[in-house]
Amino acid sequence: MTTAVIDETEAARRERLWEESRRVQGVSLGQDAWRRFRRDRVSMLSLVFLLGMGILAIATPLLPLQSPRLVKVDQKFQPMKFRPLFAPTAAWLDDAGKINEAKLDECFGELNVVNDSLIKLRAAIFGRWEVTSWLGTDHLGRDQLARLFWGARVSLLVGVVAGLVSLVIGVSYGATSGYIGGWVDSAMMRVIDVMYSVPFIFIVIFLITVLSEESIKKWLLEHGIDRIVIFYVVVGAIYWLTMARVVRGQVLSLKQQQFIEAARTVGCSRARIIFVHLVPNLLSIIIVYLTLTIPRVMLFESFLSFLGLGVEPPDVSWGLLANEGAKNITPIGIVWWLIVGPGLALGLTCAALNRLGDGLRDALDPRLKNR
Amino acid sequence: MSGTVASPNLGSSSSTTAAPLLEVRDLKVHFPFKRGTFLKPERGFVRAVDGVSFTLREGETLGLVGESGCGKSTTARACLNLVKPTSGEVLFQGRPIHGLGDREMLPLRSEMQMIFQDPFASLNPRMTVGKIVGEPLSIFFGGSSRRDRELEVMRLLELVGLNPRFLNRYPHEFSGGQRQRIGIARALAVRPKLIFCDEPVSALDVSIQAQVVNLLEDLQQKLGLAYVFIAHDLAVVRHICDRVGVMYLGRIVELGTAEDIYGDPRHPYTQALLSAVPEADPAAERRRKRIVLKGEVPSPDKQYPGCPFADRCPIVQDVCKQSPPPLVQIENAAARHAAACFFARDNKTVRLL
Repeated sequence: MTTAVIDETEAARRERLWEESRRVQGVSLGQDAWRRFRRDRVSMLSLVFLLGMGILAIATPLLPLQSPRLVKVDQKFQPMKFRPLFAPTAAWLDDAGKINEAKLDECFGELNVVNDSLIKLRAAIFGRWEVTSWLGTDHLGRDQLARLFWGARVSLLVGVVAGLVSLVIGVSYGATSGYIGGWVDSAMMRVIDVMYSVPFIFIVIFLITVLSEESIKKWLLEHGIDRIVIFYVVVGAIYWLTMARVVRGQVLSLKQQQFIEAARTVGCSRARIIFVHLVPNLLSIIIVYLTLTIPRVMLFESFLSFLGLGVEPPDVSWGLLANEGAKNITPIGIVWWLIVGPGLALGLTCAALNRLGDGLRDALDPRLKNR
Repeated sequence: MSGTVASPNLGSSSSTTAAPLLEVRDLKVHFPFKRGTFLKPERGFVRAVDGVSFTLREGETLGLVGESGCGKSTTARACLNLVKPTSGEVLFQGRPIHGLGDREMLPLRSEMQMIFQDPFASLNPRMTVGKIVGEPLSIFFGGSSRRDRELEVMRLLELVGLNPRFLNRYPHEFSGGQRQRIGIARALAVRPKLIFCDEPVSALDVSIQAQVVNLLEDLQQKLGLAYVFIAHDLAVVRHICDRVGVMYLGRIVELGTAEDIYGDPRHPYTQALLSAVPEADPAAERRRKRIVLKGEVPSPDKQYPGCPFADRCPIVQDVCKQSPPPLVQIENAAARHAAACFFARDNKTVRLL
């Protein structure tokens, strides 16, 4: 009887302690790093710039922009002009505000559900009003500003998706190789060495050529696989090599740490050690390296699009825009507004990402900064 | 420093279980190495542990002492299957652990645990205390809810003298002594019978050392734990251990109760080791005679035909360089007091203790 009472009060006491423990939250290394990062003005500015860019890219269909595809031959090579700022000229809406599906398709291509509803929302908000060609028009009279925005969607998406693909492959591969060690490690690293020695441009050209073949293309489209999607995966699958090496090197030094041995002692499985104990401790280096991989991937995409191997017209990306701009630099006349826009966008984004990576490294590992 | 309380099991044949808790038979751990140039490679083995045998009963504390690199920690790691033994046997309650895979090792891991030397490196900096201590719980009692786990973790934190409200804090928010307590709580989480303490106090301040040693003693009384206590601090070992094994170059050179080892050391290495312990009393300290060993610790990557201590031994004779002396009971010493020296019988010293 008495013991039961004691047990009950003991349980109640534990309950109370547990409730109290909820209020005593520790400061994790991540929170600590965030506090340091916030003090770094330039990095914060870069972050804000990139976030703004990302939000604008996602919200592009919602903005009152012209069509990035609609050809208006009579308005080709219009220079930058800000007057009037807006005009009720949206060709895919009639006067009553009803959407003309055929015209819409011509203006924006095939739209998925999200973009379609965003466009409808835009029609409801802005009606036929859209911005005039602030940044001028290209050789087919297409609005440069709209093309920049729609191009940002592709370029940023390539960067993020290919970066993530490289992250997932690289981290899993590198951590596994480094943790298992021995001949498995040697074999896995030799595979990477071999892949390093293969010229990527060649592989990409080969793959893109094969995938552009009519029957394969049709088959892929039937299964809902866009060429851009393949492009992401290909680029990501190429850029994981360095990530794998970096991660392996870190794992080699981390696995000597006592807490890994402690984890083995309490019976953690290999996968658990790798993904619960090793990878979170690699986070800082992974994040930093990711911010450096994304601009590389974006540049690679631009480069391929520039060569005509990447994104296919009528889709747009910054690289493709730069390509078109460069074509219009001729001895007869320079249409400078076609190259400055995409060039600046690409340059600023890459610079911001690099700066962000620097700031993150300083914030995540304060010891490195003072070395 | 209190005298050592002899374990009730020691030296009597009345122990209830036939098999000892832990039995180590001729354990060897050799690490292969390759050095030299590519054209003239030189292969060999570092004999980290080279024939260690001992037994441990339930609730008993065995100390392993010796200088750095003599294989104390490697012995513990081999017993826990963290490094693969080259040969020899480790039996836990009569069950051999040799060649067990990670999964087969799991039930044994709930019986044997380890406390690590460096309280700053042995806790994952990205996990909260609750997760660190709760991890073995979720591995061994997977089905329990997170809340139950946390309640159990809080009980463990209280048990090792930490504030249970600090469940959601991170290791870097604790002091060295507190972190070592977290490590102890983690080891206790699976309710083991045996804990290997790998120099658990050598990285701590002296005042904190005493606290942690007392905590370990309290836990032993409360939970009936057995310890294998690895240290190079002879005073701490004398305080906490029932029996002591002195290691030199991968072998146990003398094994006996703490009283016997400290009061009647027979192996010349043990004698030299003990003579290096400073005395608190200045008068005694001045009278203290030190046995100073000449030469360096020989390299563990060479094989010696005779006694590994022969090169530095003050009482060395020709026979020592021909065959290695076995670890055997000393004729005129207390029961279960063994030494690996041909002259242990006559090598008595008068200690000024």
